[in-house]
Amino acid sequence: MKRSCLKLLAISGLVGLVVCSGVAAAAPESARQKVVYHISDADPERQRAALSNIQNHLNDSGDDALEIEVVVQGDGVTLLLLPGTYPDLPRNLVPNATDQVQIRIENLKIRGVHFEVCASSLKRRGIDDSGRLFDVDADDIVPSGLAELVRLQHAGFTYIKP
Amino acid sequence: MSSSNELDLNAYVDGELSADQQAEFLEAMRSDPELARQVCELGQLKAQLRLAYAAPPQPRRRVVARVGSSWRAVAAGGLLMSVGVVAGWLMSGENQRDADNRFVVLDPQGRGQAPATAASEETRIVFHLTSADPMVAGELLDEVETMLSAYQADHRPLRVEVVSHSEGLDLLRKSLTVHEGRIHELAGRFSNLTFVACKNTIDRLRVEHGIEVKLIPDAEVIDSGVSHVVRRQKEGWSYIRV
Repeated sequence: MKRSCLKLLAISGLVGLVVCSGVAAAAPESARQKVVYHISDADPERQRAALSNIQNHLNDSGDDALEIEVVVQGDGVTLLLLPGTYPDLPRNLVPNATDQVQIRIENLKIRGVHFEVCASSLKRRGIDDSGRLFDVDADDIVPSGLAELVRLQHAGFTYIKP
Repeated sequence: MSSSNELDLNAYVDGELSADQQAEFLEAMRSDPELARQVCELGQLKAQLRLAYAAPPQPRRRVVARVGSSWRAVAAGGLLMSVGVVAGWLMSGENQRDADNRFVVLDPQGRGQAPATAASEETRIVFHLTSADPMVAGELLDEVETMLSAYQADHRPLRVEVVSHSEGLDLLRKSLTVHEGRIHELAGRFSNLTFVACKNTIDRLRVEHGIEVKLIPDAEVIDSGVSHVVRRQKEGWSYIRV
């Protein structure tokens, strides 16, 4: 029953894809859809699920059809924190940038996804060394993740919170 | 969760169940907190996707070819896509030309449905709080205060709404919040800041748990938190779920 439910939904989705692909044929480069993903969850599993959502989104729409920003904010910053660093994080937060997560992030970056990290979220959790974050340059750090989410939405990005 | 519930879940969220079926489903939700949570999440997801895909996305056919290799991933993707595509397609299907025109008129660069605002225009942000964690709420209040202060100092117009919904209602509950004083101070200092409680959540707590919710004085009440945040997005507000 569960399987058939999923199957039905998947089929209706694929029918939708095929029907709509006619409408959207030959979209010009400028019609790239802009999407911002907001990651703020502490749960490593939900963080990884968010990465899967982004990957699926790219698979479905195509790398060239999308411009994706990821704003990592609040407890979500642990996604980029290297394992073994900061053992005394508040509220039992766990660094989640394991080898596997690093590969997945790297893969998304290769496909054009850009990650931004909230400075005030880092500061509040006592994370003062960006060298202990996975592949984060000074350019990738924004003063306020929430303000950045507002800015991006004003710039035409659709907001998705996985 | 039983499979019939799973089937009903979508129908319920879409408002497609009969009165009897609805009553039955509500009964099931009462005994199954996980189901209740899923109803809430699916409702939000559908609302977001309806907004995001006012015009249909541009899929590529190679997705179809991958069905055999990773059925579960595609099924999950299909769920997401089917909701978005079908909803978007149905919404725009009847009047495809209008939908196309709207897309073009609003944004020649194809940047989605929200037109860029001029510098002189008011910035409007709705925060949708669904977490019961007092630390999360505290961090939100800090960020909101920083934003309000910055905009005030620069004489830029800003409006902020914090919509407390589902577990997020705890922030505005007299007996549970640890931020009552802080909220009162902020609401007094900034007339452009509003705290809103979801009446559906309040009603649900009364019906399901016999809890009479008492709100802090600075809280306003609206009927549905989800409808409200969706309406705000349609009105051009920026949306952030916390």
